[in-house]
Amino acid sequence: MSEAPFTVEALGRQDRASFSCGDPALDRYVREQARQDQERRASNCFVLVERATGMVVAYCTLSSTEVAKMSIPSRVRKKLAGYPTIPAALIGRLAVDSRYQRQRLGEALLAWATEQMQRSAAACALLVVDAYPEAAGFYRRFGFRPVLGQELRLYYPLSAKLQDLAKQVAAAGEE
Amino acid sequence: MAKSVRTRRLDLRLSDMDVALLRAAARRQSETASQFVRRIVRLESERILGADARIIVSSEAMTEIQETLTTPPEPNEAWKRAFESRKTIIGS
Repeated sequence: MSEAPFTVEALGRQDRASFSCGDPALDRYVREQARQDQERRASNCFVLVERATGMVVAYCTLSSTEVAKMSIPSRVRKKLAGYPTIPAALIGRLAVDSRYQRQRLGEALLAWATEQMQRSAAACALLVVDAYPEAAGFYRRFGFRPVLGQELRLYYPLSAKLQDLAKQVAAAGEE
Repeated sequence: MAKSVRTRRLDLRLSDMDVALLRAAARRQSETASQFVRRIVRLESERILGADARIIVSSEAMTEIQETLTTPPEPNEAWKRAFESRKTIIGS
């Protein structure tokens, strides 16, 4: 089997100075801030590297989070059923270099991130994304739904059904 | 159909320069000024409150999420294509 053209690596010393996805904030983040966030364990950044050129062509950040109900006055709280918090994974940023867009790299990275979260030892029930306005449609195509009242924060359950599909696709065509 | 969210009005006094700045930033993000302010203020408030490791939602939103977890959707064709792309583009 031939080698896949791209590989995912944890952000390290890869050259990303020329990374340009069309959004200055996302470009600046991967060039200047992602390492710091990684070092202070705020989020992990993973880069998609083209094997032939060594170029960083896409990246995403992943962090553990939990979904919690807003604290409310105790007199009101008593009337409501108690909900536990929900362990979740947050894709804070996902960007593809403009020169590599429309080549399915974004969806491949999303699928990769989903698999990582489902393999994680820590329980994780939900995938949450903070979408940029122009990227919200990308996530809605997969069935991500907006958190009520937060239109650009979208979620999708990391269900056994999704895990089964990933395994099924991975196994297809193999002996 | 998405449920409507109860909203409240918050009056702010901003300088002309601040208004111009936030409108320009909102345009850059293809958002209305209101959408932009809601999103940025929420993110920054969560950060200041040290809540960036938590996603804070309303009771109604929590109920919706719980329901989705109880009856998760069948992954659609977009997911199938994404896992196929992941396999061919990234490999094992």
